[in-house]
Amino acid sequence: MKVLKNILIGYLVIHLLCMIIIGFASFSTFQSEENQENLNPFGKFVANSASYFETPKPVTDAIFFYAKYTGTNRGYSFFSPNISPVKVSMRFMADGKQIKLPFKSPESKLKFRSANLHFNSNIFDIEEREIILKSISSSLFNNHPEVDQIDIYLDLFRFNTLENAQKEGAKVMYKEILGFSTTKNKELAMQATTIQN
Amino acid sequence: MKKTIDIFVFGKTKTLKKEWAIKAIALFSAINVLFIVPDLFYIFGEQGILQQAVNERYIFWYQPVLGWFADIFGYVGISYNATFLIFLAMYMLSLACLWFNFKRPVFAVLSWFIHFMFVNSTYLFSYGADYFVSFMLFMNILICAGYLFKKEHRGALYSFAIRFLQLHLCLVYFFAGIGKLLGTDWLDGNAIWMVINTYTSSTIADGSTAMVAYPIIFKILAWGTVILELLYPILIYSKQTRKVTLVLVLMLHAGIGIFMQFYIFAVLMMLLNIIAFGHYFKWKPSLQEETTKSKASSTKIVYS
Repeated sequence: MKVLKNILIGYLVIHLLCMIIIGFASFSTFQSEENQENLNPFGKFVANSASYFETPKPVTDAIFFYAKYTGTNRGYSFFSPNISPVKVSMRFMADGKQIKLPFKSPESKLKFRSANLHFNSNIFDIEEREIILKSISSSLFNNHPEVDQIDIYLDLFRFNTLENAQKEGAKVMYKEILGFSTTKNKELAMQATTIQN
Repeated sequence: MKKTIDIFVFGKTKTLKKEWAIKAIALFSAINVLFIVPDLFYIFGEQGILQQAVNERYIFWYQPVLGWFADIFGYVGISYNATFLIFLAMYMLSLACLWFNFKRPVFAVLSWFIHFMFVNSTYLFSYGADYFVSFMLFMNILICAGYLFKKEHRGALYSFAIRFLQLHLCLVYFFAGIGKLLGTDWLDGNAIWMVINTYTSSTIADGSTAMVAYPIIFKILAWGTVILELLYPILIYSKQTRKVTLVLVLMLHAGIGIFMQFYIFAVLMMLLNIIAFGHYFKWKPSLQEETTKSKASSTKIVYS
């Protein structure tokens, strides 16, 4: 039992160390100039110090291997450092009618929202964008065999900040962007951006 | 020092009953699946909304996915969707075995593995709650591992699992808190305003506009969240503050569930907190006083 206890304490220490390294290393994503604008002085200090927690590649790989298997790899800085004032949602249209995604349960809708967030943050990555949209469209074409073309709109909502809402009221700026079209043979074309207010 | 660590990690005598914890984990994991039953094939199916070609871009070679087994089962004519159903049935069966105390260590590993594989197979659909379920099922392996040892050692091993969970939660909240301290939104209350606008229903968002004239409300809620998360590791262990901290954290998650509609995530975090620290409240039927024959329990020092 004594040996087992020592092994377990060692394992506990390693687990906690891994979590600390993952936690601080996740802040290094804020180091870019673009992200630094959104940080306060303390945030800039932490983001710039995060590199102290960088480990040699084999160690990083080992930590992430372990973290993936324990479901702890994504870090825990939820809704931080700031919350985006923009909400983007995808809308699928065919022949002027909206094709609703087939999800029925609120949890599935939340899961799709998570995928949507990923899509939004990689919207300028052409390869990434195409493969995701092709996959969604292919599934929708299967469910709607009568449809030949699907237009994918992005509905953008920009909310006033709390400070501006006090001065101007809680305004929401809405933009509808016809972003992409896809045909049954899975050809995807990015449309000339049309913006309607 | 060594003795103190030994007592802290292995000598925890007051916890929620192991039986209660395992059953709660099994029940929650089953409900988690039942919540998405109408959409299972749109999420996991071969012709799902996000198919395997998309998923493969985000996972590493060492992460098991349904496709591995579907390829093998394909040789005997079993389709991808049928493979998924087989694993789903095995997952539910494993949870039932955990509930009924049948070969718990084996089924703890099996349920964790299948859930892990499901999460890997739907990378883009997976969010925080799914990863926490993975972690909870991993924790369940540590809890159930005690059954592999003699009865007199089980108390110490369960104590280890609960301390493991407690310390892990402390880091989770600490990093959640420190992350919020880096920006500006959580300091001026804008974060709560944005969360309400972008995550809640329009009825709640419309209601919040009436409070715009009182920004102090948003500041208090934002600062309250940051302080609670950041200081959770201290407050949850301090005798004077631990009960109120647990209640506040449960309220925070209830709020996330009700207002942001993150139902599964909210209940899951509440469950993890209750398993880790629920013994602070005297729910007599669910409390246990483990008698361990280890040296630790024979001392008078008790960390609760």
